[in-house]
Amino acid sequence: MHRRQFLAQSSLAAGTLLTSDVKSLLPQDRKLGIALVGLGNYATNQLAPALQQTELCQLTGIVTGTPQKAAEWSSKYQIPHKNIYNYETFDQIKDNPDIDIVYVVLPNSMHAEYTIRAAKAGKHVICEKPMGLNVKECEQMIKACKEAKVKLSVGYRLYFEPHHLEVRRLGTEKALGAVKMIESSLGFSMADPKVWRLNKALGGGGAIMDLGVYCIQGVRRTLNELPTSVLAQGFVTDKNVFKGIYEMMMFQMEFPSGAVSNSTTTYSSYIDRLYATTGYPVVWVRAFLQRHRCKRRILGRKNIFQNTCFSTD
Amino acid sequence: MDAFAESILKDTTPLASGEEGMTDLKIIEAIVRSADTGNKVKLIW
Repeated sequence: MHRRQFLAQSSLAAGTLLTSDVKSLLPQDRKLGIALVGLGNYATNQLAPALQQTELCQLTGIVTGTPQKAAEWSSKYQIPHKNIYNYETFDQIKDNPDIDIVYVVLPNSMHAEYTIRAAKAGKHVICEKPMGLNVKECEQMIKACKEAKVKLSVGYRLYFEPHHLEVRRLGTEKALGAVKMIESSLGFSMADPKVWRLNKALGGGGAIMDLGVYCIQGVRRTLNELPTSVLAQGFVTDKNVFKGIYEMMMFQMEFPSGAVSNSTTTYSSYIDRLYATTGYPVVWVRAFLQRHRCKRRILGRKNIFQNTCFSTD
Repeated sequence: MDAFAESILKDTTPLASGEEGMTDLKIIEAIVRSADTGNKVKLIW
């Protein structure tokens, strides 16, 4: 396994350092059981392998509409037939004591429905990001989980990845002075009209929904503040591919401390960076999908812009 | 995922909570509204 891949799966698997007293809370020394709902690329290549490294939870169930995937996963991960559901039988999961947590890894438009159904089945829920298509859906999801007395989490990675934690520490502790400006951008090429992420009904709005949350999270986590205003620009170059959604968005956020952020999120070109500057010293990390170690650079005043904005390290 | 399991076992609020997710959707809605209208959108929390 490549180091980068290992780091990615470790941060998905882990969280805080585990102590024996946490493990002693497990019922009869049994790990909590997770059922993955939707066995697409992310569930297959990231979550399932990460669930082989977890110490408090394990993969015990799957929900899929494809019988062939059910058979493959069942044999690969020793999942018993009684723990395999499809979208019609999903609600029967409420009677299954092997499953404590439902992880919703479906297209964005289905997050709210399956989170609410999982809560009604009495299961704790992890929902992939973005949490829903809009605030109204999020409110309904939170309400359903509160009423069912189950916990709800969003599948955000920035809370657990070491380099993002370090940038947050540097930013919130003002270790190198107060952060004045953040550049937080993520984009890659996915100009394929067949993928659900480019479908307005399923994805909810293209790159801003899928990748924009990383940009926003990167800024929010570094500053530990909420924006007071946003100004955004949307662009569509290829109207045949990007129908009813923006191909690229640029947006600026202003914060109570006076910090300003600038972001680009796009499905038609590559960008991946989180970069925070305090005016004199420079903190930056290259960023969301590429998991490079946090780099801290103290540069001479004259060289700040030259050496940071155009660095290709 | 272990962090979420820990929050269940200890009955604490998960770090990446639903409220955190909803906050980001509120910002995204403002971003889209700004791009659609060309105007700056204020956010009140």
